[in-house]
Amino acid sequence: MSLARAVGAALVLLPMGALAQPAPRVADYTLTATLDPVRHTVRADGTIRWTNPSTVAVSELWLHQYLNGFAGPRTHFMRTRSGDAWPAHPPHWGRLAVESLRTADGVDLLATAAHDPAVPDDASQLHVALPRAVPPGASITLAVRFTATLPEAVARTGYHGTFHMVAQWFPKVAVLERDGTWSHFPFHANSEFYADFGQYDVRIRYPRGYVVGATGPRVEGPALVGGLLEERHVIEGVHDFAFAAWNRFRRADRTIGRVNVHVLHAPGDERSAARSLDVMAGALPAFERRFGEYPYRVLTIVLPPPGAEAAAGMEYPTLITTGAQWWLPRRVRDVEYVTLHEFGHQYFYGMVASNEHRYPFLDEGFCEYATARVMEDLFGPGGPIVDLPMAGPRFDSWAWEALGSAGIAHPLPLDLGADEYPSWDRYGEHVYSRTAVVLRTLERRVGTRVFAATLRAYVDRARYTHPTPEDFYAVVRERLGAPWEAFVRTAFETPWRYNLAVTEAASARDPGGRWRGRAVIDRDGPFALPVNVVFTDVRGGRRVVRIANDRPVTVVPYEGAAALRSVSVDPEDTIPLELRRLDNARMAQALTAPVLPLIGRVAYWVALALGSVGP
Amino acid sequence: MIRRWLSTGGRAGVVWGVAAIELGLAWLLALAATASLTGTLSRHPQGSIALHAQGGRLLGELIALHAHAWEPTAGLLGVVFLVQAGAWMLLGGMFPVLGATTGVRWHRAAAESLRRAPTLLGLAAIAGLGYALAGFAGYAAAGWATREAAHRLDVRAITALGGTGWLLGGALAWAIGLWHDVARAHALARGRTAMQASGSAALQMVRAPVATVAAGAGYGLVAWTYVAAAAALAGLLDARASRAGVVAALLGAQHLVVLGRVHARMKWFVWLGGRVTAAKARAE
Repeated sequence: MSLARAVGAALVLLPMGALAQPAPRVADYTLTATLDPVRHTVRADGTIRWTNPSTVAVSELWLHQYLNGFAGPRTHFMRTRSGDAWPAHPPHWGRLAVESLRTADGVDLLATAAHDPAVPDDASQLHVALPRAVPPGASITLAVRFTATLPEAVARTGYHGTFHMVAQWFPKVAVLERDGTWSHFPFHANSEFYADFGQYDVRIRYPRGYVVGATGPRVEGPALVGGLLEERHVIEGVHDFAFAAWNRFRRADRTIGRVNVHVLHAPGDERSAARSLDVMAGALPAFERRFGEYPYRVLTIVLPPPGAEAAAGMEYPTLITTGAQWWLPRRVRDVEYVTLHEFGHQYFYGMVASNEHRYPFLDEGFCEYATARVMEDLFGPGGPIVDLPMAGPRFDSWAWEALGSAGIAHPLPLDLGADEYPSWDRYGEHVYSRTAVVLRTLERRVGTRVFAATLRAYVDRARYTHPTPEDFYAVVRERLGAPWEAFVRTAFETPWRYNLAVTEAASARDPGGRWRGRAVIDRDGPFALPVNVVFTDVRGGRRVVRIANDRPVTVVPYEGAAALRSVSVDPEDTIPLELRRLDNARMAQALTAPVLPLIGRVAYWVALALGSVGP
Repeated sequence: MIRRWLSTGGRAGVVWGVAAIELGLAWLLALAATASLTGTLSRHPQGSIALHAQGGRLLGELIALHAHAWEPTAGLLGVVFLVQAGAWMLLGGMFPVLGATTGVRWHRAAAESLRRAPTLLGLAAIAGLGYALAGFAGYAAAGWATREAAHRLDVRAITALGGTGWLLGGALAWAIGLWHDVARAHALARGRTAMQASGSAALQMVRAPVATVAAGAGYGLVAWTYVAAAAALAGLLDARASRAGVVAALLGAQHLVVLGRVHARMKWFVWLGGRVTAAKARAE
């Protein structure tokens, strides 16, 4: 038996939902949940078994009740929403009501439980005093009963008609860090989530006629229980559980490697479903090559129906929601991009479970980089998102990221907490695009292979842990050296603008007939990264000069047999985090002829427009 | 066949003249609209090819860099567009006069159009109301389809319903445009008032729907075929846009499209003029 076959056989022998390498079991949930699609509620009961992962004994628990962010207009979530990222008033509010919370010996913990008094009008956190301290490594089991009332689809959860995206629906134990500090926080409109690994054993009951997609593999059912269908999902090595249910779901399945991929979609959306499966056929191996094994045996992709777009574009363990217009041409890779991004979160969020509230760039930004990287793997240089030659210029993933980062008017550090960004827009432009271009710059500077190995080392080391930026810096220091650690620290911890520009390019003939001149390269920003400067002359000659780029201004002399035509700095684009690439090249003399086609084309369109109200 | 199609019965000078004026105005506007862009691009070694370079990054940077210029540019274009619409509202009788009669000089046709300005404005007002109605109909139909169908139909049907709503609105707008042309021909060729011309145009479209609608659609289709052909050519040639000859050929083709569109309009009004004159003769 070959090694590959032996490994394959070993993987097949693993029970569904089990992991090839162990993940900690800090918070295990055993729940039975009943969906009432008429009242839009989920009633549930079961147990939470929590093991103290820290080095100190604790006598309290913090639970997140994220759904209470939608309990009314005065919650922390609603107060901190900005712009039109989320609606000011969902048509139907939601809430999570914990009705019973007791220890194994029957002590009622709700009697002394309280919401965080520091956050008025907000019930998204619950503080629970324990009757006795839980020592390090010891466990406590709580019996819980609760009702989740779903809001009209908002901020990744809720219902629309009979479609239900059931997420953040149960009381979730916050993360206790190793030093005994609770990482708890009120649900903020910029923020996503943070929880500990464990096993989820969830029975979902729902009316006949509904189709359910949930975190983890289905190990039992669906079978009729008391007039309802019941199915059981069991998975470990994850830190959340979500499910979608709809009585109009259609389903498309494909086995990719050892992973069963299911797409749940609206009737008529078969084309998007097929595209989702097609892109996953390439993406799964591509992500595994770059970031290691996807250890679960299942992935469910939910395409929310029209009207439920608020539930689209979100990641949960082994379940992602995407969305796209079915009629988009194949070469407009919207569904592919979103699918890759949400699947990328299985690594950066799922397995590499950083604190999304405190360090959102570690999941969203790293995932954004991974998305563009795999877009390039699958669709060629640049990772084209829009590639319609008949309709205009191509638009690439890397250009998208660079433009997003360049659009930042008032830079902030990237390592801020989600709640430290003053608006959703400013959160987004920093956390997603700017992080991605920093990583892309590192890749371009140290080489694709070296950077891939570095990032892989970080992922391997951080798998099933809660890494902080320091963990990434440590890997960079070990693999790439202290200067690159300094680079990423500056890029992530300080606000910066960075630009290189050729601000002068000129030459003149000397009495001896030679052409002499100079190029002036201005550097605006903190990174002293050596770059090439390329001179071209009017006869087609080309000369490359390497500059240290360690000063705000570098003057590079030119001498040649012909007049200087143009100067380019960093034409290889080794610093994608630059704000502008347009000013990286400059003609010695401005020429009108090369821009005439643009004027002519605009004139043509203007003439057509004028003609529409003409004779 | 081609000669027959190209012939406008001695009206070629007007066709060339109007196309030249439209293109001249468009070039002036394009120069103003792209002034800030071309300033940047003329310093770039790739010139306007830079718009296709680096996966759209340079194009995005240009758009962002000159964001301050978009609003005044759009304002300028909007004003010129309104002036053009106003001017052709008053000169809207020129092509109908030229189409209905042979040997009339263009300035006489223009003068006649200006003399009949109240009638033309009346017809334009009726047509404007019709366009607004068509827009609302399209919006309402598409909105209804999206709202009502979401829970009952599949997503393709929802899209089709929404699209059909807009198509119906578009078809209504096109029919109103056609009626407006016919009404102007009746107003100018038969000396009718706005209300009389409206009725005559409606009557003609009812009495000879196939001929009138088919002719209107045919001449319109020809004009749009030119536009589509130029778009296809641009798509095919953009990849080789670094060759000056290719660029010049494309620009030439695009300018011919503008000429072709004016020519098709003149042919349509010549056809309409013939029908209206015949109707006038029958009535007398």
